[in-house]
Amino acid sequence: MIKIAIYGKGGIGKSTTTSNLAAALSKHYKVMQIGCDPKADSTKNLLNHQPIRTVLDQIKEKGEDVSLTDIVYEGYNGVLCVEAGGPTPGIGCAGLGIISALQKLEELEAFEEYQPDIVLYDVLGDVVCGGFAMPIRDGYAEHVFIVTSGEMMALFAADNISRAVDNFKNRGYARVSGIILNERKVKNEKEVVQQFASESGHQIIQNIRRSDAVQRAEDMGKTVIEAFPDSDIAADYMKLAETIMDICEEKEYRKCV
Amino acid sequence: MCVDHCFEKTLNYTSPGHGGWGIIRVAALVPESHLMFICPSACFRHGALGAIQHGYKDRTSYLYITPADVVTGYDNVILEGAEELLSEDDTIKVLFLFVPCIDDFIGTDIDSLARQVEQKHPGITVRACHMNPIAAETKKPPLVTTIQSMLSTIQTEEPASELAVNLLGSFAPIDPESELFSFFAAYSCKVRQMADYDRHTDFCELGKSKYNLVTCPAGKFASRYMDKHFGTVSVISMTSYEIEEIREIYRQWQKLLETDSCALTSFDLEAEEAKTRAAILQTKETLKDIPILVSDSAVVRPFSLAKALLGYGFNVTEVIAQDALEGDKEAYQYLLENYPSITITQPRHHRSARRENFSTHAVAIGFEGAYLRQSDYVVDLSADEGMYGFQGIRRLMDMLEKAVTQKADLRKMIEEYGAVV
Repeated sequence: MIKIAIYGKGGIGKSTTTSNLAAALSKHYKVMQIGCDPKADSTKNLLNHQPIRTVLDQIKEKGEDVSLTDIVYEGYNGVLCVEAGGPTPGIGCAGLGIISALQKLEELEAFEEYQPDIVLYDVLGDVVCGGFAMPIRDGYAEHVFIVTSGEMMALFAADNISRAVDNFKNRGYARVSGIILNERKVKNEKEVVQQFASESGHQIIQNIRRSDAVQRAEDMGKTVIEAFPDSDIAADYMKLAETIMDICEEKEYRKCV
Repeated sequence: MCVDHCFEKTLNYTSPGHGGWGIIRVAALVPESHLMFICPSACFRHGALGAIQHGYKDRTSYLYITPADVVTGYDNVILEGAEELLSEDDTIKVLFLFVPCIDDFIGTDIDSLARQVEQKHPGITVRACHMNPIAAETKKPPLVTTIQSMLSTIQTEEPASELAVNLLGSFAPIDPESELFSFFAAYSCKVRQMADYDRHTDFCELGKSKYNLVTCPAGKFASRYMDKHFGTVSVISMTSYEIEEIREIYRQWQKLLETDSCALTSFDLEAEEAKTRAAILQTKETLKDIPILVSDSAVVRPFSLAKALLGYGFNVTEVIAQDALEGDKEAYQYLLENYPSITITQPRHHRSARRENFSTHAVAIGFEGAYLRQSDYVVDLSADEGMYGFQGIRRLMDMLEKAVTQKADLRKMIEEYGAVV
């Protein structure tokens, strides 16, 4: 089982990237996508906007009686969709929400039950506290991919994430395995992001070109892989899936030898 | 007797008679262990007092954290604290890092910190523990996770294949007079208990035993862990005071041990049973119809004990139990149907604070019932400690007889037992 966490600044396109990646990977693998964002909208394009009950909603409603069928939904091409959920805006603690949701999945032995080949954690924004570091801890994701554009704030967030992950390098946590450039048509965007990647010791593994197909697909409640499989941007996501699998499988292989 | 709603969830009342083993006493069963509590200064005061009371003061340390630490995270404070402790005390072989509910909220990765300390100190086993009462009603309450942490210190390279049985559940050791020991000895099967060991390396023997005998619910979690991690085979044979049930437990174990091609050498089950029946008759003769109250602070399955005592002809008038546990529900139903006059009282129900006193001329089995009903006579028993098999019944009979010889000094009994309220 390969476990991957996707991080990046809020609004940078993490959920779009993650759900398209899940859809692309689902052509050959059994995939589970876990949205770690209180907005609970990570998987909506895999579920045709079908409403989903979050793990925290179900814990609140059913307490210890929550079962996997209450929180795991099957989406496009068999992708298993889970949303951690979060607190009522303005109260509670979003970090604790992620901790509770991931612990509940572990307690219910979700991975043993569904046996996905790939688990994708789509994590909200920066690694601001313990809760947001949960997906990269030992036993959770082994690989972190950071989504960024060439915009200053996106790069600033990417740098913070990279440093946070690096801080935990002695603990057996996940490592940054690559940068995904989600283009925003910023001047010299590739060069700027390439410079950031070089300075932080990472590589850009894929450019996702800007395309209005993403918005049109989202309006339909779909990923571009489902709605416009022959589009250029669908090809970018397919290529991204292939590259990510090469990186992860290579590391799995190295671990074995 | 209540019929449909014996058990209510209400505002809780905690009597001075309530209490059992606290987390410190349980974790300290691991030999050569030290417990470091990482918490604000107001947390764990109760545990600290319990540690002093039970003589574990030198095996516990407190690392205080401040509100600023909570906001900024305090991984380094923990690492420095553990370092300071281990540099000053070279007798520690196992270090438990206990964190409170706060760490559930802020997400301290205490397991990872434990590994870091362990890597820096080869030869010392370091484990994370959670003293988080907020998880009390979840599937992983503090006692369960603490037991798992304790068992996870067991290091064994050999599979669990030695002809030996671990007694899991009761933290106090079973009375060595119990026929349980001669029964297993007759099959050349060793008996091991957590409380048997003074050295951690010897404690690890528990991971080599082929079998676990689970004597009470706390042992179920332990046995699940051991079955999964060491490959033990667990049999749930709860402490019982019913002759037929005890006979059945031994039959079940006979069958199991015979699969190991072991022959029973000498164990007279019939003689044990006959001695027990004689003891019951004698005690019944002494107690006559004095009312008996059975409390769940004394035994894990109070309804089963009440059923057994009623079957032997004793006058059980009240069961004081917060709930009917899984292995006790059948007996609870039996009492509802066959003894409708028996009162069932929840000790932690807010109404129990009134301490209604119908008559003090009664024997209470357990401190909590004794406190609530102010009974003259008290059987000094907590959580089935030391009790098992036919000898357990005989010992209970002996305790009942001794109890009615003089009016009890309940306060002294509770203090001597060191119940953690």
